[in-house]
Amino acid sequence: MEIEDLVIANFVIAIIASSFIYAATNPLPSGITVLETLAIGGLCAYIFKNPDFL
Amino acid sequence: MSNKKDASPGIDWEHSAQCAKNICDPQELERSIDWKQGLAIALGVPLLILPSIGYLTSYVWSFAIVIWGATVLLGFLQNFAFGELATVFPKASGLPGYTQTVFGSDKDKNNKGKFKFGKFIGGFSAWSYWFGWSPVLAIYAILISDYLQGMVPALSGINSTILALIVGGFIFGSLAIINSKGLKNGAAAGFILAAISLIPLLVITIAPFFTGDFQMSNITSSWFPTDWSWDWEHILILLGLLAMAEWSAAAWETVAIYGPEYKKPNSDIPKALLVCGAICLVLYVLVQTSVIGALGVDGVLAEPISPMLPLANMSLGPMGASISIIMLIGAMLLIIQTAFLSSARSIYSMSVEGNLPSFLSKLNKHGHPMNAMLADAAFNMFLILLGTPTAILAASAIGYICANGISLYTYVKVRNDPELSKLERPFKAPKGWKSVALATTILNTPFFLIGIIYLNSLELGWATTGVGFFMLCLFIPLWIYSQRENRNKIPAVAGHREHGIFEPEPIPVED
Repeated sequence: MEIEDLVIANFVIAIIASSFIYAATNPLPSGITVLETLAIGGLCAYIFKNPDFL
Repeated sequence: MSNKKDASPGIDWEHSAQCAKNICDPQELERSIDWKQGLAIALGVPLLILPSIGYLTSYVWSFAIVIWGATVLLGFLQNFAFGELATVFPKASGLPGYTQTVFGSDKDKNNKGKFKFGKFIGGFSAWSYWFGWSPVLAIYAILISDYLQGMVPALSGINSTILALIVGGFIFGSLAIINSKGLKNGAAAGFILAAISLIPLLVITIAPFFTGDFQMSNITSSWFPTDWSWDWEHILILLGLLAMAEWSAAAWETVAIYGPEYKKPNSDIPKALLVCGAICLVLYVLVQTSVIGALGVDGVLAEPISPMLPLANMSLGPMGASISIIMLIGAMLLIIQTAFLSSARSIYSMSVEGNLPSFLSKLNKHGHPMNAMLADAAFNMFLILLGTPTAILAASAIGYICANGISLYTYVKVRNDPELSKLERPFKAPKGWKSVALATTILNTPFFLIGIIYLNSLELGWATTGVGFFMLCLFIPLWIYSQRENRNKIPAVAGHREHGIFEPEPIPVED
């Protein structure tokens, strides 16, 4: 795995984890689901485009 | 030139030609300061503790002392790596310069094709760094106008936003004029401001130890709030507090941002970093210890924004309180000066690397990035219109954490890369530092980032995080515009390789 991939992976982990934590501790504002979908969708798209990711 | 090229066959000269001067401007930042002057400019960093004393105390009581100490020590772990990077790339401007240089290399396979992924990451890191530092100008301009309204009754009738705009315009304009003649004048201004703010800060901090107002039991009896527990929510709060503290207590990496302006970068940068770190370690721990020891946790929480005022009243009397207000205003000016120089250089560095429009890298006749400074001032005048310093601060801390994380990855990449790892480095971090840097990177992103987002959501709601991410994402359209601009300019740059950032330069011989 290259450093660039690690950078992206760390940011994606931070965003997904934050959105899940926020959703678990607060009444859900409408934007959270959208954010989760975007983050997970973005990660999947990235992995499919970079099969050597791991 | 050809000899240099042959001597370092793996170095990316094509990239250095572009990244160093895509503006085709023969000017460079002037090498005009020594390590003491660099240190003087960064002496504003210890004063970043002032607005956060009450904030940390409100969450963890006396344990805030440990958080400050741990964060400065974390700063040492990180800044050893940044010190080494500073000597590997003596022409690069601090953290933004290193990330853009290393990730933006045209030989990197991530930068082949239309979308230059590595270049984007480097630019994004620099943008995050700028967003971490720049709002300091607006925050402290608003605070100064608030203090002035409190001190001068005649000003209390004026609309606070208008007064903040006037104060901000006056301060930014004055500092821009002082700094326009080169960094030497900025350093001189730093010396003067450091004298009028650091000395009273030290006097007020140390006085309670001699007057008998300091009670150790105030600390030992209240390490944590009574309802504190070590569950995951409190650990997230702790991570968020560490991230907030890092925004202040690890910010002394700013001494490295003047890399291109030190007379002897190889020795000046590590020296300035170590001395500034030592000063921060003593002051951050001492100030928090003195405040809680003298006032007690309840006393700090009664005056969370400016606990230095009751401390001065208690130890030095009413005269002390007057001095402390003047001290605070002096301290805020020093912080603004430090942040102004750092953030303007970040803009300059991004523009030079082709990650922001090229007009921002124009230098004036004294070799100072005046356009970058004016753009920075204009952005902060706009921020003042928002009028909410706490939200601005919380959002900018997100940017700072992102920048720190990516910058530490830059160090790991430089040590891993077969070509970059061979570059000469007069200052080298101790053996095994790559693992230390990797560990601190992961601590920053994702852990601190998750913590600061959680803390923001607790304290200020989702909006602050939204503002932070919106500002970070604003980089994307600016970057796309700059890439288009670069594509039209690159042919004209080819003749300017002599300004390459990787290019070995004649460093003055050490005495």
